[in-house]
Amino acid sequence: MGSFPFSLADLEAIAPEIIVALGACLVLVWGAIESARKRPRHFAALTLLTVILAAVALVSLAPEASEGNTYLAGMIVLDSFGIFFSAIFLIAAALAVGASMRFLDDHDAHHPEFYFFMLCAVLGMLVMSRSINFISLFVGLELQALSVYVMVGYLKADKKSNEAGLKYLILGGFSSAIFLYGISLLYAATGSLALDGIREVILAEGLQDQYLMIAALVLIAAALAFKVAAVPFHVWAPDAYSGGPTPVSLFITVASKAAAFAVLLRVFLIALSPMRDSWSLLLAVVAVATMSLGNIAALTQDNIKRMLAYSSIAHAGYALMGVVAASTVDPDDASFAVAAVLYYLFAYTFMNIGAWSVVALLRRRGLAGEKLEDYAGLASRSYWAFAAMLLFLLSLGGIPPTAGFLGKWYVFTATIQSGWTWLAVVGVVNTAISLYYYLRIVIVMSMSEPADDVELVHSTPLTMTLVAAVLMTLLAGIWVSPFIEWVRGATLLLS
Amino acid sequence: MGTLGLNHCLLLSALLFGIGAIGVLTRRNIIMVLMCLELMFNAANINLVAVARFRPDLTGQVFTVFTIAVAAAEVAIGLGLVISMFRNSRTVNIDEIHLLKG
Amino acid sequence: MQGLPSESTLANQSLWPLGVYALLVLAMLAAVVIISALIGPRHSARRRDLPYESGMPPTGTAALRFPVHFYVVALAFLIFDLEVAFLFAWAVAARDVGWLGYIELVVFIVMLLAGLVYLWAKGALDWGASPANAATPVAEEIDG
Repeated sequence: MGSFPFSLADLEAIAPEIIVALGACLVLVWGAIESARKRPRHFAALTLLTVILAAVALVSLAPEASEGNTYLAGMIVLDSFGIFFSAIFLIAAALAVGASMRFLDDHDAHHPEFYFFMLCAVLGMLVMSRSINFISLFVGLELQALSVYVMVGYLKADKKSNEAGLKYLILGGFSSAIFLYGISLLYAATGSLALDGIREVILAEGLQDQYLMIAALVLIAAALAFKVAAVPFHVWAPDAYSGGPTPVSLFITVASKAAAFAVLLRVFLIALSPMRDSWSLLLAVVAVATMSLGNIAALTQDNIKRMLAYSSIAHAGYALMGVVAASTVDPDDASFAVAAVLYYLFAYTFMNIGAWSVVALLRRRGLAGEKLEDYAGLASRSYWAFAAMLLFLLSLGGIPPTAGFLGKWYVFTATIQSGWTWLAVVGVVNTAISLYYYLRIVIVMSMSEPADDVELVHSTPLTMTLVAAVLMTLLAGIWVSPFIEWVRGATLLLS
Repeated sequence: MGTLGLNHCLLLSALLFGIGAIGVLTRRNIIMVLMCLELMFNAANINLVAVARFRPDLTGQVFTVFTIAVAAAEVAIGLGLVISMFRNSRTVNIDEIHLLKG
Repeated sequence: MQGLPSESTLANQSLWPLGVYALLVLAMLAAVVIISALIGPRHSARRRDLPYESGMPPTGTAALRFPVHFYVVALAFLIFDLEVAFLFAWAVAARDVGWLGYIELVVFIVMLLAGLVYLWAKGALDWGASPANAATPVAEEIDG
C-alpha cells in the first residue's frame, strides 16, 4: 500500500459528510427517474431525514472531538470547533426545509433539485468548517458557493431571481478567484498549503513583513470579507438576499455567513496568527464600516427583505468585532473572544431564521409580500405572527432577555477585554441606530390598518420552523449556561 | 535574456490576474465576464504549478487539478444562469439588468 | 524578491533564441503589411467592402445565434470532460494506491454516473428531433 494514507477511521470521521453526499445523490437520481412533480414533499422528507442522520453521526463523533485528530492526509480535523459549526449548518438546513415547502408550492417551483442544491451547500459548508488545509477548504467553499448561486437564481421565471443569482455568481466568483490567488501567493511564500504548516513557516523564517505575505494577507482578507458580506465588499448581498427566494435568503444569511466565519476564524487565527498586527486593525476598520453602513442603509429601506439584508450585513460587522478581539496575544482573552463570536453566530442563526420565516409567511396576491406596508396591521390579523416577529426583531436589536442581547453583550465584553474599547463604543452606538429600523417594523405591524390583498399562509412545517426559532431565541437568552459551556468548549485547540 | 525562474512565473500570473480582474470589472457582456473570471482562476493555477515546480513539493499541482474542476463548474453554472436570464429578459448585457436597486 | 529560491531554473539554456524568433515573426508580418500597402493596387468599387466581393450579398447580423439546446450539451461536456483530469491523476499512481485507490475512484465514477442518470432522465442528452422536442420546437437562441 506504500504511503497511501487511508483507513476506516477516516471514513468514520467524515460520516456526516458522507451521509449528506449520499442523500444529495439520492434526491437527484430519484427525483429525475420518478417524475416527481406530483410529490415534492417526499423529497423534503428525505432531505430532513438526511440532515437528521448526519446530526446523529455528528453527535456520535463529539466525544472524540477533544483530541483534535486529523484525517484524510491532514485535510480534515475532528475538533469541537468544526462540530459546533456543523451543528449550525444542519440546524439551519432543517429549519430552511420547513420554511421552503409552502413557499415553493405557492411559486410553482417545488422540485427535488431545490433540495439537492441545499444538501450540496450543506456538504460544502461541513467541509469548509472542518478543513485545516487550503485544498479541501477551497473545494468546500466553492461547493457551497456554487450551490448557493443556483439556489438564489432558483425561480426560473422570476427576472429578479435570475438577476440576483447571476450577480451573486459573478461577484462571488470574483471573490473566489481573489481568494485562490491569495492562497497561491501564500503558497509561493511559505511552500505549504496546510494552515498550521503555514504558521510554522512564517514563524521559523520570520516572513511577517515580506511583501509577498502582505499581498497574500490583503487578498485573502478581501475575499473573506466578501464572503461574510463586509463593507466595502458587500454590494452583492442586498441584491442576492432580496432578489432570491425568501427561504433561500433565510438559509444563506445564516448558514453561508456562519461557514464564511468558520473559515475566517481558522485562516486568521491559525495560518495568519503570526501576522496579527497586520490584520487586526484592518479587520477593525472593516468591522466599523460594516456595522455603520449596514445599519444606516437599512434605515432607508421600504422593502423588508432589503432591510433584513442590510441588517444581516450589520450583524456580520458585530461578529467581526469579536474576530478583531480574538487577535489579542493573551490566550485566555482570545479564547473568550472566539467563544463570543460563536455565541453571536449561534444566537443570530435562530433570530434571523425566525425573522425571515415571518417574511416567508406573508403573501400578496399569492406571491411573496416584501413591501413594508404589506406588514401593516399584522398585529390585528395574527397575534402569534406579530408576537414572534416582535421577539425576533427585539433579539436582532439586542434587547434582553433574548439570545441577541446576550450575543451582543458577550461580543462587546470580549472586545473591551482585549483592549479595543473604541470599537465596542462604535458597536453600542450602532446597536442604538439599528433599534430605530427594527422598531419601525414593529410600529407598522401594530399601528396601521391591514391591507386587503395581503394574507398569511398556513403551513405546518413553516409553523414548526417558527416555533423552533422562537424557543431557541428565548432559551439561548434565558437558560444560558449550557450554551456558554458549549461555545467555550468549541474554542479549544483553535488559538 | 536570463533564464526562466519562479519570479517570471509570478510576474506572468500577476499580469494574467490583472487582465482578468480588469476584464471582470469593465466588460459588459456577461459571457466575456465569465471568461475573464476564468483568466483569474488560471492565473492562480500558474502560481500553484510554478511553485510546486520550483519547490520540492507536489501539493500545488494536486490543488491545481481541483481548481480546474472547480473553475469549470463555476463557468457551467454561470452559463446556465445566463441562459435562464436570457430566456426571460432577452439580454446578456450587464447594463441592461437593473431590477434590484436601493 | 527575498526569501524565494529564484536561483533554480526551468531550463538551463538561455531564452534569447526564442526572443530572436519572435522578433523575426513580427518583422515579417510588418513587412507584408507595409509592402502590400505601398505597392498594392487601390480601387474603391461599391462592392469592395463586402465579405464576398463577387458573391451573394450577406443578410442579417454578423453575430450568429446558436440554439440554446446545444449550450446544455456543451455544459455537460465541459463538466464530464474535466473529470478525466482526476482519472489521469489516478492512472499515474494506480500501482501505488492499490485497491483502496481503485475503490475510491469507483466511488467517484458512481457519483458522476448519478449526474449522468439525471441528465439522461431529464432529456438533456436528446439530440435533435425527438417526440418531446417536436412538440415544442427549439425556438430559444442566445447571442454567441
